[in-house]
Parts: sequence; C-alpha cells; structure tokens
Amino acid sequence: MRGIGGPLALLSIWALTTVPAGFSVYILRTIFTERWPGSAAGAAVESLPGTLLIWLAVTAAFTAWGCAQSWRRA
Amino acid sequence: MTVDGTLIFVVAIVLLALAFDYINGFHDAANSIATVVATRVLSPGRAVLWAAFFNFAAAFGFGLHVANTIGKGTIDPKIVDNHVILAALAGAIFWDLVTWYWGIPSSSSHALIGGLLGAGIAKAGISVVVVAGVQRTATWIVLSPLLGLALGAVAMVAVSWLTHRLDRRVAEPLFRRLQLVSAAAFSLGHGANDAQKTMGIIAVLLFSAGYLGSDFYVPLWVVLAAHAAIGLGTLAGGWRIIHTMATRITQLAPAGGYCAETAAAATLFGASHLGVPVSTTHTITGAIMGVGSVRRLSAVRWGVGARIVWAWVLTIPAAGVVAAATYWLVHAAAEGLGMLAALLPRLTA
Repeated sequence: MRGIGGPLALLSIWALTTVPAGFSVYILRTIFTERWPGSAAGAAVESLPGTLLIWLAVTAAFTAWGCAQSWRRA
Repeated sequence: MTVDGTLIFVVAIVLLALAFDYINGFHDAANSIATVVATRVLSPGRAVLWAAFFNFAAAFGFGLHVANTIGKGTIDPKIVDNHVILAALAGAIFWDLVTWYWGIPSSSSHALIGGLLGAGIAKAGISVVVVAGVQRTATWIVLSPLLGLALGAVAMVAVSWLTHRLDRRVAEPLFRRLQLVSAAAFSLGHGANDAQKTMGIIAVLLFSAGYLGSDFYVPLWVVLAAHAAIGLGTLAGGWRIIHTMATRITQLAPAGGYCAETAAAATLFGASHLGVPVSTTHTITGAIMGVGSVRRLSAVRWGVGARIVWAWVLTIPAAGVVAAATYWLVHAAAEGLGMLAALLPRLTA
C-alpha cells in the first residue's frame, strides 16, 4: 500500500478506472444483447447484479494493473 | 445492361466502397492513436496495430443502427441506384484525399453524407432528402465536438482533482496504462461508427439492385468486410494528420491523453447507440481542446481549430458538388453508351 501512497491514493486510482471499466461493461452488454439475445448468459450479464459484479471485477483488475509497476518498485 | 453486367458493376462499386472504408481508416484512424503517440505511450508502429485490432474487433460488439441511418435516413433508398452510389463515393473519396494531402483533419463521415446528398439531389431533386435523418445528423455535426470538448474538460478537472495526492512516480505509469485502455475504447467506437457508414452504403446498393429481397438489412459478410477494410486502412496509417492532432492543437501529457480519449470514446459510444453517424475527427479534436483548455485557454492553438472548423463547413458542400458532377457525367456516359448500342445494329445492317 505504501508503494502507491496509502489507502486514499488507492481510492483515487480506483475512481480513475471506473469509467474505462464502464466502457467494458457497456461493450459486454451490447455483445450479449446483439449476438445472443434471450440467452441465459445474456440475461445474467444484463441484470443489475450481473452488471455491477462485472463492473467491480473490471475496476479491480484495472486498478491492480495500473498499480503493478509501483508495487513492483516498492 | 445484362444481369451479369449489373452484377459486375455492383461488385465494382462494393470494392470502391471498401476502398473508401480503407481510406477512412487511413485518414481517420490517426485520431485513435494521435494522443497515444503524442504522449509516447506507444511507438507509432505499435499504436497502429493496437488501433487496427480494435477497429476490427468492433465488428463483434456493436449494433447496426448507424448503418441503417446511412442506408435509409439520408436520402430516399428507392431512388438509389448504382450511379448514385458511385457518384456519392467519388465525391467522398475526392474530398478525403484532398484533405489528407493538406493534412486537414476533416470528416470522412460528412464527406460520405455530402456525397450521398449531392448524388441523390442530382438524380431526383431536393425532395429525396430524408429531412428528419439529415437534421439529426446535422445537429450532431455541431454537438459531437462540443460534447467531446465538454466531456474532455470535465474529465480533466476530475482527474486533476483525483490525482493531486498521487506521487508523480505512481501517476505516470498508471496513466500510461490507462491510456492504452482509453485508446482501445476510442478505436472500438471509431470502428463501430465509421465502418457502419460503409456497411450502410453497400447494403443500400445491394438492396437497390435487388440482391437483398424486399427487406433492408446488412448481411454479415458486409459487416466483416467493412471492419477488415477500416482495420487495414488504420494499419497503413495517416501520419500527416497524426502530426496535426498530436502536437499542433495542444501539447498532451499521459493524463490529458487519457481524458481526451475517454471523453471522445464516451461520445462515440453514445452516438453509435443512438444510430447517429458522427465524425471521429470532430469528436477527438473537441476533446483534445477541452483537455488543453483546462490547463489554460492559451494552451490551445485555437488558430488550428479554426482551420479545422473551415474544413468541417466545406466538407458536405464540396463532396456534394463533386458527387453531383460525377452523377451527371456517369449518367450521360451511360445514356450515350445505351444510344450507341441501339444505333450500332442499324448502322451495321
């Protein structure tokens, strides 16, 4: 944590990744609604819990990826 | 003309449409990578590969609303024939090449719309214009750069506020990576919006020639071919315009590049979702200006912006005039050939 400047810095980095993660969720949802309309996987992705889960997972992945270099250096 | 002759003509125009798409990639895809190159996140070679991949990947993710708008929402599809499409493409390609040569980031999309309008009006008069569709497109001509500018400025303010606590050694690599994501998103948006314009042109051509039956739709092979053409065009690059976009409007740091790409991608996604054909060039230029203006208003070279605005104003009329002239030429040539074919048996008898 100290490698990136503490919990507030981590929160800032996480906030920065929310918009690109939102793009990923939008693209995933569009793929499922356009290509596989009515499928079970599509319904799961389109549901609110599914959307939120994917969005949280992607923000976490982007945050870890964005901080990886600083963590390695620390 | 025989059925085989019609088919050959249609195939030739489809190839010309794909060539337009290739030139569009060559001309416009520079927008996708200008900020990544300007901030030295990727070398130009890697940047074009990155953008081309996501241009093609857009074939698998987005709907076909923009293709439908181009195919049915610009001029009445019932009056469209091979000559109209040929003339529209000639007008758009001519204007694209002129602006590419002079390094002016004009809009391929508006060149295509201008070409369609010019050729359609030359054939059947002003009544063929689908007023509602053209009004919507015209509104977005103004809206897309302004939206890009506003979102770019808001993103830059938010990012500055969020990162003022971050150490420079943490922020720099973070933004370099995030810029890869935002450039990918912008390339997806570019592929989704721009390749669909060519799809719309090819689909309306096939529809008018009777190859699609009674319902207008976009066949899958058209989707894949259009995305492949724009991706290959991107690979070829458009360095003159990259230079204008990347360094002459304003100087960018990785955080600024990230904000500009993100703002422009959000605008493109919204427009594609609504089925509006917008200019990727307008959008990213507005976003870069928005980001630059947050630093200070004098950081933006507004003179370059003004030159670009002139290109925007001229694009639709210029492409339209060339398309109308091409239509009359092609039509006169076809009529001349028809008369010659009718006279020839009598002369030889």
